[in-house]
Amino acid sequence: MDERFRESELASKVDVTALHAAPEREPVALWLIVLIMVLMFFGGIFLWANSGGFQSNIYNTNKISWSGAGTGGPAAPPDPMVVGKRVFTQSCAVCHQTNGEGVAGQFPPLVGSEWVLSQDWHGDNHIVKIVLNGLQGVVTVKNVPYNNAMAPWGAVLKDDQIAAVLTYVRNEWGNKAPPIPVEFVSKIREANKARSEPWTQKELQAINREFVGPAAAPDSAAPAAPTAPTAPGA
Amino acid sequence: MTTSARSPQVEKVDASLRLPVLIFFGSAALWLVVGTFLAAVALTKLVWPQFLDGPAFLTYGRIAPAAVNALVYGWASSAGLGIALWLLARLGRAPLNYAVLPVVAGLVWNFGVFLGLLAIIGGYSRSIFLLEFPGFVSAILFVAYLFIAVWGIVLFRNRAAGAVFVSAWYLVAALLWFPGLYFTANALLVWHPVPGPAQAPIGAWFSSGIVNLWLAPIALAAAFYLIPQILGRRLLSYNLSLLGFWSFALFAAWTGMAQLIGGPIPAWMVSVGVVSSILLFIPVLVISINLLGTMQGSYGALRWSPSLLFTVTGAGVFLLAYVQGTLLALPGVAAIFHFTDVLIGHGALLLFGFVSMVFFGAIYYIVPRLTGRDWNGDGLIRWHFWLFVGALGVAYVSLTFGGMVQGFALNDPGVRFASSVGFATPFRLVAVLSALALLLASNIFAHLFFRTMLAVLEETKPLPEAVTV
Repeated sequence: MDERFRESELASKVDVTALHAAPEREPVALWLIVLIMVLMFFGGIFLWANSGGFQSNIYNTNKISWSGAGTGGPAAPPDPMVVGKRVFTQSCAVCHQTNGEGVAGQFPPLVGSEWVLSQDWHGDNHIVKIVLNGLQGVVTVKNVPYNNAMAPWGAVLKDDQIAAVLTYVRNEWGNKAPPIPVEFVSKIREANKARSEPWTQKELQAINREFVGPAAAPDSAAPAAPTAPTAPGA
Repeated sequence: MTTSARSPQVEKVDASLRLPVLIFFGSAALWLVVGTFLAAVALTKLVWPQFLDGPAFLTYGRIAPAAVNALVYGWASSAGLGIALWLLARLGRAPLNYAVLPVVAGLVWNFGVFLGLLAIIGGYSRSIFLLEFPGFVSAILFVAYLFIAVWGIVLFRNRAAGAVFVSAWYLVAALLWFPGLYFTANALLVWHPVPGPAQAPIGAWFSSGIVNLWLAPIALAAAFYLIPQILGRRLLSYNLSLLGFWSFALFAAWTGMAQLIGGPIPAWMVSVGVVSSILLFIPVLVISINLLGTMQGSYGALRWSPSLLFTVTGAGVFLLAYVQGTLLALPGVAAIFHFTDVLIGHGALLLFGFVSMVFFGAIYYIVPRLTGRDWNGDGLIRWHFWLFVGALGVAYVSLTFGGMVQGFALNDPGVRFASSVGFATPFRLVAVLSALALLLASNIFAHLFFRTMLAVLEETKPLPEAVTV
């Protein structure tokens, strides 16, 4: 150990106060002044663009553009694909798998499934009912029979989460179908309030097809129309 | 082993401050040990929830705030008050008359901290960050503070004629800022709470102010005094000190609002916080240039002066921690790292790496001058330094990396919340081990302090009565 590593041996002979008060005053370096001015300028621009005019009723900085337009206002609604992916990962991927292919012989696939895309005898209302109340018994998906049970999610997921996850599975992995609006889920939940047991394929087939929007219905139903007559016979 | 001859006036100043300042330092050392112990327990519970599972007073929700409060009010504030009194007396060449008053007030302050910690552990926490003490405890602390701080102001008023050194600017400002902060925040949040939405901005303003307007100015004052004094040279630039002080005073108070980004407060408040955090880079850069520029070419002195070693390290960490603070306030960065361990690491860097480091340096410098006796065991000072720096560095790096992983996981819609916590766990485990090393370092410091005190008591007759003028 260094024997001189001691504090008290230091002779504090200088008087910093006197030194500090010395008459010579160094000029502040030019680059420092320039840097300070640049920082102040950008700080000012940032404040101007993000202050919402210093109004007490504007809470959201996100919507303010550099031009100052569109100041404040409510936050943009979250992307249903992002919310849907989160819900799917948490609640659905265990059985249907992250790639939506399911497990052969046990859990049916969602990719290209007529149940998901509302083809054949399926409507947008059927898939919402399944997520709300679950499904049991023998089902046929892409001409392959499955006999398993799907849990009801109505008590776990809220309407917006169900809408988001259905929108997600209908538009991921190459699937293409219109998004499911929250109001559509709420309507069906309200109509099925009394029901507690899971659906069966037979029951669902007896229910008329409904579609999310008047404009969307013919589009999504059209390709399914030629094959439609074959399914109800099952 | 007495110090080199000093002027009688300086002897008189030191003698008048001996008892109060040593009481502040001694109690601070004890609270440091208590605080780091509680922090280590809380961190362990974060990684291993079954640890000390049982009675309510051992739960994380009570241990963690107790640790933070012990460190901020017990350790840092007590040490800071001692340093402030000594520096103001020494700079102004003014002895402290009526030392008995700050001594009593200091004991009351410590009693208040003790009561407050008991209240937190007992479940009477106010659950507002750094305002967890119940109302009657903060009232005790406030009154005790006034009786201590008024002597700082008196010492400043009684200063010898001549210029006012930059350290004194920071000290007087801090002594005046703290009561404003503490009274306002307690009045509006603890004693007579305002309606809900207004509480968050007040809380954020207070918690950032405790660092920026109370602990940081004292630490900067100590650094501005110690570095030129130990090296025996002039501060790099008078104009830079002036620019640094006023720009720090201007921007530091506003930065807290940036914490509330995305919260339910008007947009302009958050934006003002963000802009102040960006502009705070100006004083931070100016102060660092001044402090480290004064060191320029004299880094060899770090080998023989422990207080210079601690102080300069603290000054370097000041730059690092405040630059990180500016970066973390940027909205794009905050969106990812806001609710992660990155902020825990940043808080540890501010409190331990900057404030505590400079305070250690100041205590290592001041105590031999008060006691007229060297530190008993210089090998242990090195152990204290390297263990403290090493433990803090490892904890900071691991919490920062763990927090980054956590932040990206939180922002990935495909990752569940529980998984984002799981990702951070191995990094937290490393932080637990570092916290244990930090506890050891704090114990070494306390051991050194009290061993030196014992040696002083044995060597001389009982401490000379400090109350004499």
